[in-house]
Amino acid sequence: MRFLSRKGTDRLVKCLSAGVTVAAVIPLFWIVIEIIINGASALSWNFLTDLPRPFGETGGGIGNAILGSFLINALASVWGIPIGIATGIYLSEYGGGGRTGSVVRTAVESLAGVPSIIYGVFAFTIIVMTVRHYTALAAAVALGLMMIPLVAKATEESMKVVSSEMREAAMALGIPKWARTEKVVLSIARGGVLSGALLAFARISGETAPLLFTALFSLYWPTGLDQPMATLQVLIYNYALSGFGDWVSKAWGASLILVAIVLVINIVVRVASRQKFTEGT
Amino acid sequence: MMALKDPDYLVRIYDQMREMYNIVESAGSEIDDGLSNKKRNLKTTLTEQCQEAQIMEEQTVEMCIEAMIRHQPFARDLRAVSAAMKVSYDLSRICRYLRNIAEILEEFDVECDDPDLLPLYREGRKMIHLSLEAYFGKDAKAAADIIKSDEVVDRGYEAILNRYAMAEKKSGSCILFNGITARIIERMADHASYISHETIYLVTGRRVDYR
Amino acid sequence: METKLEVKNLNAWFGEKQALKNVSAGFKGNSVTAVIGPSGCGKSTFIRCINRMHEVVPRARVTGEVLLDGVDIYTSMDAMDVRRKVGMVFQRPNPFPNMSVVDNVVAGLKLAGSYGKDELSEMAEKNLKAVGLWEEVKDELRKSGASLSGGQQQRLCIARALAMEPEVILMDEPTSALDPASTTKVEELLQQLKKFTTILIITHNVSQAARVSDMTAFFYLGELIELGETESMFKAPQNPLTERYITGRFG
Repeated sequence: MRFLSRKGTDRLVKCLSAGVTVAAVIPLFWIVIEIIINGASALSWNFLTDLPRPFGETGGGIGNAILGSFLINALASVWGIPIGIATGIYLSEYGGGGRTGSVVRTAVESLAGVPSIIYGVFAFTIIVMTVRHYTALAAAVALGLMMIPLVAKATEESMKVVSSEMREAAMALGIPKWARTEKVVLSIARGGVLSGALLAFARISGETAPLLFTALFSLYWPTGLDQPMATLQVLIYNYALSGFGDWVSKAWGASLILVAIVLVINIVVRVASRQKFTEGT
Repeated sequence: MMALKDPDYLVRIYDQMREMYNIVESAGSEIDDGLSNKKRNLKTTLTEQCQEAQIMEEQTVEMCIEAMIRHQPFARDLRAVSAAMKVSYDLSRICRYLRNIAEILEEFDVECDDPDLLPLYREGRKMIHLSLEAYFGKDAKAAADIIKSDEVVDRGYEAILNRYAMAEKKSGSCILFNGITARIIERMADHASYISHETIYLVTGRRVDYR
Repeated sequence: METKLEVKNLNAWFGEKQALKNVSAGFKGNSVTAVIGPSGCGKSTFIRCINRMHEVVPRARVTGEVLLDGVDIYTSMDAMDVRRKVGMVFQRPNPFPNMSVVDNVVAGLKLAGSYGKDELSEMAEKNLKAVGLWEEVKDELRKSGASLSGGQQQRLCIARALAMEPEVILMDEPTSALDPASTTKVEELLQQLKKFTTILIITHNVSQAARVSDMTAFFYLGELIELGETESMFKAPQNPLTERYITGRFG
């Protein structure tokens, strides 16, 4: 004898699925709401543009952290994204099938799984220990390295999806391989590649562990790449644990900015991808 | 050449043509009877039969055109369809000639048929029979032989003509009767030759001589 | 009409499997030759040996000679040059979706050489007119090549091939994915195109071969069985195999 009728089982499963989904989604909204509530009060023009005050003093802002995050992320992208795209192109169009290709692909996939702190330690050992002080450059190196597997994977997948008919058509016109790859295949795949790059950027915006070993922190405007630099992530880390009310509040504000950046990037990528499908190629 | 089966639409066309041939055969027997036993009243029967043959010829042509539109035949199938259109015309023409002989038998109430006339007629009829056997059997060699034997009927016809051209004592209607009948037989036998030409084209794809 | 394209003792393999066996044939300039035969007979392999696309398949091998205007395309020419002189149109229309209609037409020219913007515009217009597309797309030149209808896309692909001013255009069942009206347009187009170039067209449709071609080549199991004038071949083929194929007894 069945415990429930067939229809009853159906309804039960539906309810359970819905319930579990809500349970999974609630934390996201909860976090965002908490951050908005707690961080909104800290926002102001001064907050965004001023330097931090010494511990214990109120006022000041996180301007240096915002600029520092931007600089480090930009530098990381400058070398992480192109190498990632080049690797993706190689895997998709050139050596992807052969033995070297398998090795490269395995390496890329493994790198994607390496904990971010290891990247930090790596950059620390290679650069910071050599020059004997914390540098923003090391941070850019570590974060750039982290971007490579993400961008490579996205590039490879997007290019693989491009129909082989396109490559054949280009070949039949007498177009050499590099021009085919760049002007036809990559061009068609550019949506996916761009998404990959943006998502990688969003990812490194949130990484903190590598920065602790490389750029560390600073209470001053960035002075040079060979010096420590303030970032939003490390600022949040320091301020939140400080116990000082003003700083804790600023940590919430910084969190709000960080979350906002990451959310906006994710939403933009989502919307842009959906638009492509509705336009219908 | 590999023996290929005819497609259904061709089989139907050939069945139709075999029926036409049966009509021509039975008309031919009537005329044979008429010439041997001097029967004068065959015109009605022959007219009926020829009308039927005419209708069947039109139907056959329709079937051939429809086959070309619908099935777009090529190579041997195409040749078979175009040959069928021509041969069905030849068959209806032969029937017409037989009817002409029946008309002459009725109009010329004479007792002077040449002893060579009946044999000539039978020779012509045999040619027609053989040519249609070769056609339905797709036998190009037999068809070539028939074309050669056309001469026999031609000479027989000329012989009869000469005999009456020389004679002065025979009556005018006698001359006309034998002359015209012989002429009709000769023309009838020509169609056997035409049919044989079509058979050769059908089987080999080559056109020999001209019609 | 001189012999534009000549093939001598052409053999082709995919690994161990031999796809073409000792094929020899000559094709006159400014003519349309239909290439027919049952599936797997080697028609596609044959034409891909003429624009050197067969060799990019892994483990592919070719022996023999293919002469374009007397020059061996394998030993005396670079593969890219061959493909510029021997164009190809595929079964499924494949315009580049990331390029506009105009850019599609001149894609081969743009990506392989240097031409001025005005020159390219002129060439695009000329070739779109040649394939009868100009009137239909002249107000939508900036739209993506993939936004056209199937029949228009295929004519666009023909224009794209034509823009390279090739000596020979190879077509692999170019109308099998098109509706009857588009098919008719493309078939009529071939009669115009042969004034400028030589065409080899693979087709599964025996009636189409009869309609569009001056010569027909029949392939079976990798061998060229018969090559002759279309008119006589379709009334009275020399080879019994050819007869069986075109009367639909097999294939």
